[in-house]
Amino acid sequence: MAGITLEQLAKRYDDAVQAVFPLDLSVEDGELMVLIGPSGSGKTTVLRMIAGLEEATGGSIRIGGRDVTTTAPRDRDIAMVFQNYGLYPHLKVRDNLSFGLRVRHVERQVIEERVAEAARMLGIVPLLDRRPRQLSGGERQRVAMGRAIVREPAAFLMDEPLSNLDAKLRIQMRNDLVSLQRRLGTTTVYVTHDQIEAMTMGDRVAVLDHGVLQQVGTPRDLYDSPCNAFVAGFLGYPSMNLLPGTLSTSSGVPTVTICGFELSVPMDRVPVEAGGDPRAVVVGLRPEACEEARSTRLAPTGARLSGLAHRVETLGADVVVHLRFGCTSPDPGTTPPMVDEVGTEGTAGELVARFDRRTSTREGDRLDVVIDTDRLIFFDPGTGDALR
Amino acid sequence: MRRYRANWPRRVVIAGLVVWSVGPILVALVTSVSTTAEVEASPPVWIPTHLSLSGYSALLGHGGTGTSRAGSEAGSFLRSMLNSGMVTLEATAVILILAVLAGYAFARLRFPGRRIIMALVFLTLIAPVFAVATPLFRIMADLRLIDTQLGLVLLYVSAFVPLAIWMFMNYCRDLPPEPEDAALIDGCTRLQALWKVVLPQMLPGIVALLGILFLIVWSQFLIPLIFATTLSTKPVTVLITELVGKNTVPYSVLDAAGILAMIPPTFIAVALNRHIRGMLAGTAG
Repeated sequence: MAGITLEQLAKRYDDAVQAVFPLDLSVEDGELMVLIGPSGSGKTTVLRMIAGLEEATGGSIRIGGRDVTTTAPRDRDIAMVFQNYGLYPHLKVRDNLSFGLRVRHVERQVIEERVAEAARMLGIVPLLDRRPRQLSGGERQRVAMGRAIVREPAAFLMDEPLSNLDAKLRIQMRNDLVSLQRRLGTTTVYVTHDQIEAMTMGDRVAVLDHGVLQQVGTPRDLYDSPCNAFVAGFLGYPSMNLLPGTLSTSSGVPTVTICGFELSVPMDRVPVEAGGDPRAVVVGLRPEACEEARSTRLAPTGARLSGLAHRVETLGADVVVHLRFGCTSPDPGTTPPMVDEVGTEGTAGELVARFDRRTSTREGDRLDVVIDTDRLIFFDPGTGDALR
Repeated sequence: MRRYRANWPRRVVIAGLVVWSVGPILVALVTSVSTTAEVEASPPVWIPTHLSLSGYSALLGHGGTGTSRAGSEAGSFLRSMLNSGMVTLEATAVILILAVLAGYAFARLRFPGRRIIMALVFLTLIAPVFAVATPLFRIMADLRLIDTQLGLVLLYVSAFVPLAIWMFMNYCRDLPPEPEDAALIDGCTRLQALWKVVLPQMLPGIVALLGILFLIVWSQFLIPLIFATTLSTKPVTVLITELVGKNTVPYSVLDAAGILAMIPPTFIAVALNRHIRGMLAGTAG
């Protein structure tokens, strides 16, 4: 068992494309670290550099304290699970499992024991004499896991292992994977673009975008205190609302104005970082921090927006309401550039709220929404960084 | 399989194509078992009344017409078949090894000068054999490689390796790279991964390429016509043309030779049909 430490790890391709900018990341012994980001964010490149399948062009990689930056993949004591399984098509399941041990000349009896143990653990004993093409996607994924387990490596590297499975199976495999990882206690780096996987599986999550590490933290940290608008918009469904606004503290009571609505802001939410007053900000607001005024448990004072419900989506457990304020032009000069980039649900003049399923809101209704101002987050409209 | 609704234009076109491609073979087959009198009859006799295997005997040397000429024909025909077989197998083997390794390297490995080397290799596809035949002949003569098996094999290799590399490179690109990555992580060196995982994974493509190369090399005519001057290397494709006498054309012998010469490639094509179609259609596996 071993931790993984990346120091200033970088990847630049020959054609001068910087796939990964120097990043530092430390994965603790036994931890499940999720790397998440949109496609092209460099997450898979980082994983492949840890595996040794891609050469790092800068920085170092340590596994269990040992510098493996230039070590061949076979000598890094890791096992990898691939998105399309990467099973050896010409070998039976049994031989797929034992391949790594046979190449390493492990004693025959040990091999048989470990294969039997892994097969039992993953419930693939009846499949041992089949070939990969005779297996379903879920079965192949189990075999790929088994192949990683029998090696008893210092770390597992998983590259979107559940992406090719259908939704239902994915959830089941997700839980199986987490319990297996907890049971074995093997350090794991898990790459995904699925934020639900990241939130549910990761002990910690590292968010990447355009080859730059944005933030590392527990799922809860990232959700509640995103370091910038990208992380805020990327995690959570529906995405966080990012609305242009104006923050003012001059009148004694801090307020933020969004589309003409003035909301009072608790003192502890007001950023201490220097800035003008009033100053342009991007207001971050989770959909679930918006409640219907007529059924709220929040104090019905101060923070209130009203608008037209132009779209109502029923998710089953709850209802997502898209609310329009009737203010189409945001405050001049405050359109946040990164709002489009992260593809958040809300646009200027629109708020996405998540209501209880018992709501009576229908499309076309005019309604008041109460904001949980304790959950307001402010971002710099220029850089997108969270204002603290 | 999709089921097509039979319609008349479609049937006519298919029938036309079948007659076009199979017709000559049928005529050759019929002629090869006809007597000379019937072959030369006017109006032509399409369905022979007497079966005669004299064409085959002349070539294979059993009985036959009893003339000395038949004996020599039998010897030369069998020798040329052997020549064809030997050179085809040797050239196919060499091309296959080179194309598999180079195609894999071009498809999977990143090395300096890769694009330039690829461009140079594929550029040679442009030059047709007849354009370079004269300079080649002089070079081959200087190297004393005219009328040698080695010379022919070298010519075939240089003529068909680029095409074979190109086909195999495209095939490799369609293969998932993950099994090789997995093997490298599981403990293999790159060579071990190639041997234990990648080659078995590529086997259907290798078999297909083997079949295609066999068919191409076996049917070569121009290169051996120029470079295989005596019976010590002459393949059956060239020999058949020499069966035509100065004053006579022994049709049944000619067609019997054609039919016999078709047997090895037919065997290959039938045996490897599924793989070959896959590769020509550009699909892996």
